[in-house]
Amino acid sequence: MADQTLLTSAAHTATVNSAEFSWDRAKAYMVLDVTAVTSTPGLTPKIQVYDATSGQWITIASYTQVNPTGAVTYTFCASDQSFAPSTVTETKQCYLTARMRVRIEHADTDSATYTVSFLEVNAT
Amino acid sequence: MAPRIVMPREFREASEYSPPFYSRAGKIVVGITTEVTGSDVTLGLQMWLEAAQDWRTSWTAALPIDTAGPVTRYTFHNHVFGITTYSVTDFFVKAYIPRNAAMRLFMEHDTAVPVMYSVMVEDCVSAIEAVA
Repeated sequence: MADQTLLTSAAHTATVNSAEFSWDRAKAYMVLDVTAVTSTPGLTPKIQVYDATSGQWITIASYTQVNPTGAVTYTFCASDQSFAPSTVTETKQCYLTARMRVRIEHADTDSATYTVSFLEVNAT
Repeated sequence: MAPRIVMPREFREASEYSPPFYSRAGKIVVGITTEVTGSDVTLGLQMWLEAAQDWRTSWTAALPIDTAGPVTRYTFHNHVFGITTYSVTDFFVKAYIPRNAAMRLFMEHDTAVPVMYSVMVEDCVSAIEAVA
């Protein structure tokens, strides 16, 4: 399946949700690529799944808040296995679903310009 | 991906990038043959980030240059087991190999002292048969 660009490059000063997207793989790389900041924004990436029965977005993975001070790339693994390579910022073990979105929560109103993408990774 | 020499054997005095390559394997092997001792060199793996339209570094490590065991091998693998180092010249790096994104390697030279080396990459097999 194709990689997904979930948030195109833009400056944000408040929490933002991506559009819903479909994913049919058990693993993914989520890349938060920060290209500019003002002051010290705090960003907490989350992966949410949609529960059609309740109509709610449910957080299945909440990563540790990052505090970029300049251009920096964060990579987050979402995997059905316990997998914590040092080559990525953080890994969360979770099940991915067909209806998901990414949420970037802002701790304050400091500006951050970033993109978010979901990349397919190879199976064993 | 068949074994591919991405940096042919030659003296280099400055940092250099390999051509882009793709893999559909869960593991890839990078082999570096150094023939003379020289400056400090850092090996890095990058992937193309479509959203940013730029290369982003996903891993780096100082390369041990050892003329007594001149082939250094890095196996990037998605196994959950925890092996990280097999010997001083044979490393296992836990990583995800992107399926669609291009990758490339770089060799970053800290000084201008020339170092002769070649770099190859291939989908994972049990061992590197040869490094040119």
